[in-house]
Amino acid sequence: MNPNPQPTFSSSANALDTIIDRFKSSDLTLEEALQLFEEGVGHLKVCQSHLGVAKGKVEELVQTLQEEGEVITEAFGDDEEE
Amino acid sequence: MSPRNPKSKNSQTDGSQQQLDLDAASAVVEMFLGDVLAEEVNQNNRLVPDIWSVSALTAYFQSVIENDPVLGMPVVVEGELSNVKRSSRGHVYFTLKDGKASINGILWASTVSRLKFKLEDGMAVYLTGKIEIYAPSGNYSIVGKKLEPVGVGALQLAFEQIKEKLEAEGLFLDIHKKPISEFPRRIGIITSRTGAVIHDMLRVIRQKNPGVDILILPVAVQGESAFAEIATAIKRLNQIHRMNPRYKIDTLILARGGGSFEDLFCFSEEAVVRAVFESDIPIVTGIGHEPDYGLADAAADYSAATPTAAADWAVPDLRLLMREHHYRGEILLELMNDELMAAEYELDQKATRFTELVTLVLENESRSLLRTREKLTDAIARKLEQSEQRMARQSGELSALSPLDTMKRGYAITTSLKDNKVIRSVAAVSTGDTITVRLEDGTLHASVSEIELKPSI
Repeated sequence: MNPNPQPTFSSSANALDTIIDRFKSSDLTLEEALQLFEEGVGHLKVCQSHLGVAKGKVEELVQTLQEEGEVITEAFGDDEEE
Repeated sequence: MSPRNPKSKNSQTDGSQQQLDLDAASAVVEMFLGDVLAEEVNQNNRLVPDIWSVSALTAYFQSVIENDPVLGMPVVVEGELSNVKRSSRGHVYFTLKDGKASINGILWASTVSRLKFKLEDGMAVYLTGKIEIYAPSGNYSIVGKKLEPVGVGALQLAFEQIKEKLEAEGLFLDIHKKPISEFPRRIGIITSRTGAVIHDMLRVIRQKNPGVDILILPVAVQGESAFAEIATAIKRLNQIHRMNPRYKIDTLILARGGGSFEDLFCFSEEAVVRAVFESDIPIVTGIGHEPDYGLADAAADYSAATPTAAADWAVPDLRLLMREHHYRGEILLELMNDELMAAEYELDQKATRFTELVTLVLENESRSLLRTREKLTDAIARKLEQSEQRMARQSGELSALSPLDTMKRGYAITTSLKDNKVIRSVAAVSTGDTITVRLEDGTLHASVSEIELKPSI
């Protein structure tokens, strides 16, 4: 459906590591460095957005409707809820 | 099936009666062969007819067996399977033998379907069943109700068989293992709804990473239907994962608390192992305790020792990720800063060198300029001096040439009153014209009374 989904945490984190390696290992021109830095900041933001999510849901699958894998769930009663 | 005498169910044989005495035998014959057959019984009250029909003899034989205190009850026979053949309807025919004898055996399809393991030639088994005669062919065989392997348990054998089969198909190879998501957003959990396992797992996941969504699909994890439920659950979560983009599942955990080999066997059933293998979602198993290793574990992408270990493995520590994330940010900033500092330093170096060069050039230039200026000043001074001298000379010469000096010596300048022009020739005036004669100390106005031409020479 979405042709360009948000990059995953892992892909962004890996891309960042690659950028950091390039910074460390190769002789960059200032332009290249600035461009890489800008890319790196973009990846950092993606990672940040992944890390900063709210508390996840705990659901129990009740039913699957055949079309489009539509699901019906209900909150899972966790007795040990704080 | 062998034909049975309808009266046979009425027969009752005393268990202590090991040998048939004649009367009893006669009674039995009468009882079993019925009226028609009874006619064939010898008139002399002998217990057997002179001439038997084949079916009567067969029926008699059948009845003897059925009424035998030993053979009438199910017997357990130990032997080796051979000639195992499966019919199109699912019945299994085989020969059970030991070193000296063999006997035919049959397992009806309904019995076969309850067997967890597969019957193979050469297998040593305990067969429980009753001997029956198949009248049309005159063969007798044991119709088995139960069959168990000798030495190992039936489930153990089934385990080994499934393992061997799926191993040969490559289901347990490492090349098929999918990487477990490093940062899952949603975890699917297939386990029992009841018991501590699910709560322990939820606690571990919450502690490590509260942001993860969890989708639980409760199943029975023991009993006859468990394996089918588990296999279906795996397929169902995969279907949801494939078809519903809002319900992507990054990792699937298959879990069960500890139990006996029999309790855990459902996780080694072929259907479950295949479902694990075919899952698009990477699967982490946590089944039983440390030494338990089922076939689902072998086919899974990662197998943890316990359910909580599986939960722990499936979910990254958020605090650790945060720390790494901040570290990356700092490193990136630091590296960029280094890069800028290096560029600044380089620029500084260049600027310094440039300034030095420019200063040097300017100094040289200004020195030569100074020299030029000095030369120029000198030249101008000289020129001025020369000019002054010349002017002084010229002014002396000029004053000598001034008409005032000439007039002092008695010369006059005559001009016409008409046009105030200097008269240089007598031809410029006529008699009677008024002229002005300018002397050194005044002016005379006079009129021309006579014109005399200078005689030509």
